[in-house]
Amino acid sequence: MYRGASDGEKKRGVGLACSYRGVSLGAEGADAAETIVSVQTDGSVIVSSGVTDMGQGAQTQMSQIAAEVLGISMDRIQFLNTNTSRVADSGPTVASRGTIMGGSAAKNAAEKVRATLLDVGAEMTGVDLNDLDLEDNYLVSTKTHERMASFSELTAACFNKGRPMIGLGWHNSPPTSWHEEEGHGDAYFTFVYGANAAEVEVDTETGKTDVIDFASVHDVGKAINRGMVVGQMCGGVAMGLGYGLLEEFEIEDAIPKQLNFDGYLIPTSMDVPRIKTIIVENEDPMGPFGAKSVGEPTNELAAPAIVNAIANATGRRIYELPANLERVLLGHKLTRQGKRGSEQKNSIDAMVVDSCKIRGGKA
Amino acid sequence: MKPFEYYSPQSVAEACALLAQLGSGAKILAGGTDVLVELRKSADDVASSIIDITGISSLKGIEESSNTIVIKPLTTHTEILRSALVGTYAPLLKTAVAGIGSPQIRNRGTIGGNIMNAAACADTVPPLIALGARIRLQSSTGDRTVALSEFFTKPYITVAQRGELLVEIRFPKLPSDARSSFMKLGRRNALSISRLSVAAILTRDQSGVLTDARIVPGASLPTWHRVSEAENLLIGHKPTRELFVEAGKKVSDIMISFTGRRWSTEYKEPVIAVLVRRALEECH
Repeated sequence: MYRGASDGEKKRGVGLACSYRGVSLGAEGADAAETIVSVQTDGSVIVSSGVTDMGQGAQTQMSQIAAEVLGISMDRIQFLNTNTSRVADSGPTVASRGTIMGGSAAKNAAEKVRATLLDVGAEMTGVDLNDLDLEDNYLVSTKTHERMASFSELTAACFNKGRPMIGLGWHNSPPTSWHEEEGHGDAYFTFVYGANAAEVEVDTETGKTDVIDFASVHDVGKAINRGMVVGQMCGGVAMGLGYGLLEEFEIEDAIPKQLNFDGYLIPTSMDVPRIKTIIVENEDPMGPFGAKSVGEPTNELAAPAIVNAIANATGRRIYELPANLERVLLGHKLTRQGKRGSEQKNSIDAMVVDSCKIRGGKA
Repeated sequence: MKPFEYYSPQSVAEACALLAQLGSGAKILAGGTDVLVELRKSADDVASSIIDITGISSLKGIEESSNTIVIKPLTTHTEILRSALVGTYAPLLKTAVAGIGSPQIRNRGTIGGNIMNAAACADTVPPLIALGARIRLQSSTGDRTVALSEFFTKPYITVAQRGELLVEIRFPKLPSDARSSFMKLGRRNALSISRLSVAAILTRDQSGVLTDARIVPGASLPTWHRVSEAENLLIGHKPTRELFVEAGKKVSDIMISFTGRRWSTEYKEPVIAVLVRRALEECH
């Protein structure tokens, strides 16, 4: 099946791609974020941040970090959607900076509230401040492991004493530098490392390539939420697989040719193999609880791993993406001249079959 | 979306009367997987009236009568996929519908719609032509039967007249000694439009000599038809890989004789030959 092994129609190959990548914006520009942790009298907690969650899970990560610092369960926390009229502009959700920036700010904010709560706890119980901790929704003695007060009792006491239970957490990234003309500098304050391995089966008679096995390994610093990290890794691979094999965006005379998902193909669940995910925890002093980044790094390695696997299978390298039927079989793309069949069905005289899709679709 | 008139006839006669009355602006809605997409276009030629025939129960179902299978046009791809009759007597049609769209599209889309839409990539058509299907068209003034191989004149164009409604698809059962296959090449593994396809049927006698061969390529010729030049290479011979390769090459040559050399020929020329060979091997 493998290139050297036989002359079968379908050949298999394996490919590897590795990366190290700067975390957050680095020397690209200002890089700071605010998160607010506001503990309510009843012991519930409101977290908000200038870091926007568009589905990647930043809210959950920030809430988890605040819960960890305050020794409370996640069900006490409500996260408010980003609104810069009540929390500082924290820059864009880019550069895989949500957890490390918003999360660092959340940790900072929660630590401020925690200090107040422990101070009040010491006053309440007469126990030395240094022998108190917040754990499992209780104020506990670290010496006797006795539960001294519930979290709600503690917050009520704090309110009654007129002490502030709001923490404004601000995180400014460590200094970085970049000399544009000379092309050097300390561009990032830390880096993440990753590797993807793809196994493909190439139909050498049609160019059809199937990814049949895949492994994704990423150093994330610390996985704040393992399920979400795995989700990011699998999503990144699926998206990268589409980039590598399917997603073509052509522009002809300034007009895009792919205007809908019938022409711009993304992978279906039948195209994505089982993905083995391996999380490497390499705790980083620059990140909250050692966490770094996991969003974008997961996406950028799949396509190179896949085209390397194709080269391993066929002996021929693809330099242009996507590695679709034509590029894999012929080594170059084919470009349709004129419109698709479905578009010219009403002026059909000179028409032969160029390509086909449902009648009525727009290309 | 342009506004349109909506009609929902409950019988074939009522539907035919509406077709006659409404003229060229009327469109039939069966599964809707093509028509509803088309309605969203801003073009001037989109339908002004929709005749929803889904309420006509006589247009649904799969039946057998002695040596014939009859499929009514409103039968969905999923129903065909699950039909024991189709699985036994037309397995290549079952293979073809299994690869159409997604489960949702197969649950909605109908065999009648697939035929009448007449897209060159329609996956049910090559198997049906290989099976020798004939279709019945009914209008307010009568009805007629047409061989499916003579029904299409160009992509999206058929010999159906305005006012005619497809009411039946009929084909002889595949003999028990026949072997059939359907090969589809798409760009991805689901929700994929055929880039190329091939339906094939082979029958051999007891000595292994091929007595019947039918090859219908899809998405490659301007209209579907059996490629007799390639079939004739096979009949009277014992099947070998070399023979199948030769038949594939012949189909490829015939395709180019119809289409000329076009932007896509560099790809389709070798690949249709491969698909034909594989389809024939699958019948082995």
